Amino acid sequence: MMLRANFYLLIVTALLLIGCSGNGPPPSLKALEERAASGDSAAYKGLLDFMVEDKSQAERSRAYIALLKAGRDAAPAIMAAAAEGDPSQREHAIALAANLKLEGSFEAAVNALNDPSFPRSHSAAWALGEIGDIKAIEPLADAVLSSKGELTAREAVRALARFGKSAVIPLAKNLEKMPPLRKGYTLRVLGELRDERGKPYIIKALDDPVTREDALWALGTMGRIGESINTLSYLDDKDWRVRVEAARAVGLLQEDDAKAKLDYLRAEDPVKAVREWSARAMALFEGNPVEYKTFSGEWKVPDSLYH
Amino acid sequence: MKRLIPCFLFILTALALAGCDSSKAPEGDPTALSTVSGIAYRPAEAATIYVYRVGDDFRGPPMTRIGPLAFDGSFSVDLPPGEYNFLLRQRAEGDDSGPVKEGDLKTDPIKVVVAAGRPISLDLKGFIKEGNAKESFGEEVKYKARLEGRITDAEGGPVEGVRVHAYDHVQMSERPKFVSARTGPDGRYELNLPEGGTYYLCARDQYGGPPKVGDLYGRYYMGTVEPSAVIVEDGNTLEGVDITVHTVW
Repeated sequence: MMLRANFYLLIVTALLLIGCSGNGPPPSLKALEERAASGDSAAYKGLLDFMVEDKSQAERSRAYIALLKAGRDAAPAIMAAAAEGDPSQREHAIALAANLKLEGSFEAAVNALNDPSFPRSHSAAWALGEIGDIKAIEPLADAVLSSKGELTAREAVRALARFGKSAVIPLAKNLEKMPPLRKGYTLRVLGELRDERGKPYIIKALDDPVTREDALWALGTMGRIGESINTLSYLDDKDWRVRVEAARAVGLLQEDDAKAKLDYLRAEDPVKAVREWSARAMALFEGNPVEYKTFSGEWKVPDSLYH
Repeated sequence: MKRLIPCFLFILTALALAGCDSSKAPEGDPTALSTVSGIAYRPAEAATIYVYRVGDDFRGPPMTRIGPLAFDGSFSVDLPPGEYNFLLRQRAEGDDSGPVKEGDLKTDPIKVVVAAGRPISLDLKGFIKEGNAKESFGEEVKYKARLEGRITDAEGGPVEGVRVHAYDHVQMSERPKFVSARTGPDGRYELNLPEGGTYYLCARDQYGGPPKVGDLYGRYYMGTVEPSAVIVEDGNTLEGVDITVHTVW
């Protein structure tokens, strides 16, 4: 009996010591999720600590979702993490700030985009597209040209596409200064923006064999807008990837004088992909599926890419 | 609890036998579902049964999957009339897709013909794959093209544990046509394709449904809203098809 009383006493003392020192084990993710859900603002900082680099993807995701649900109540903690600190935590905080449209989220994203020490600046590019403030166009256009990471450049192009026609000139004006890969992204997005002011830049890129494939994709995607150009001659290009994009473009642009050439290519081109895309292009004229000839001599309808 | 197990197995056996009674088949409806049920032996607790339509590639996603199975290996599934292949797999590493390796539990494909309203009793006998390092499922499929690359995070580091999904349509909705094994610590993947063609790719850590907030996900794309196509020719391996994944915000 005495022994048991001593044991309980020991436990109570230990618990009191832990409680008083404030050095107890950190709360679990589950406990923080529950506290955040009940509006306990003290839990937000703890959730942000689960977004750091050395936590697992699953833990980071759970913490992110819990803060997303907490919403604007968590703004002070989120904005502090968006300004600096662990790259993973900062990435998630920037995304949260943008999703929740928090005050100061635009400035935090621009700072992160221009911060050379922040290795995840792609999240800032995405955030600026999400926030949608037109003042983001120039910093994003600069990032396409000069950001260190390829992913940031690609996300910046995509973010710019969300601004629609306002982004055409800021994107296009830097085209000549861009390395080939980024030029390719930009040309394609100019095609998706379907603005005639972008067309001269795309047509010029046809002259360069490195960007010809991207330019043809863009012309096809843009459709019959602005200056007209005949892309028929590119069906004879020596690069089969250019021939694929040329076939797609003449189909989308409904270039009637390409029909005979497409009919030839769907049976005789030495590359199967060109035969398939020629048949797909002919189907755009015919309004019905058109077959291509396989190398074993059978006729086959290509997969429908837009079902 | 132990005493309950034989009793439970007896009930299952009785149910399976009852299921074999074809006299219960409804007449008239040629599309009526039929129950295929049985027990996977070994025991096959936590194994998964993959049901493919005849002609499907066993390396791709199945029409449906059953499991992970309970401790007794019992299973049941309702299927429309048709021909199917049943395969049981239990990967030692706990994956639910990817090549079957030495030490994994498996069965050979078992062809099942389902007629309208006629239940079928089917027992599966799994065995441990050993001795042959080559994947045996889908051996009949001859691959003509292949994609290779790395899955990286935003900082260019390799990402482990994601799969590449290949779609044959630009919307990338519904089920992918082909799925790679999970990437290892080096983030590298290989995706064998039965034929060359135009594919749209994504890499993700989850399977099924659209990507959700918190998932790890990335598409192969050229900065555009529309996913970018990857074109690979028969007889070719296209290398360097790298995809960057990041958290879905």
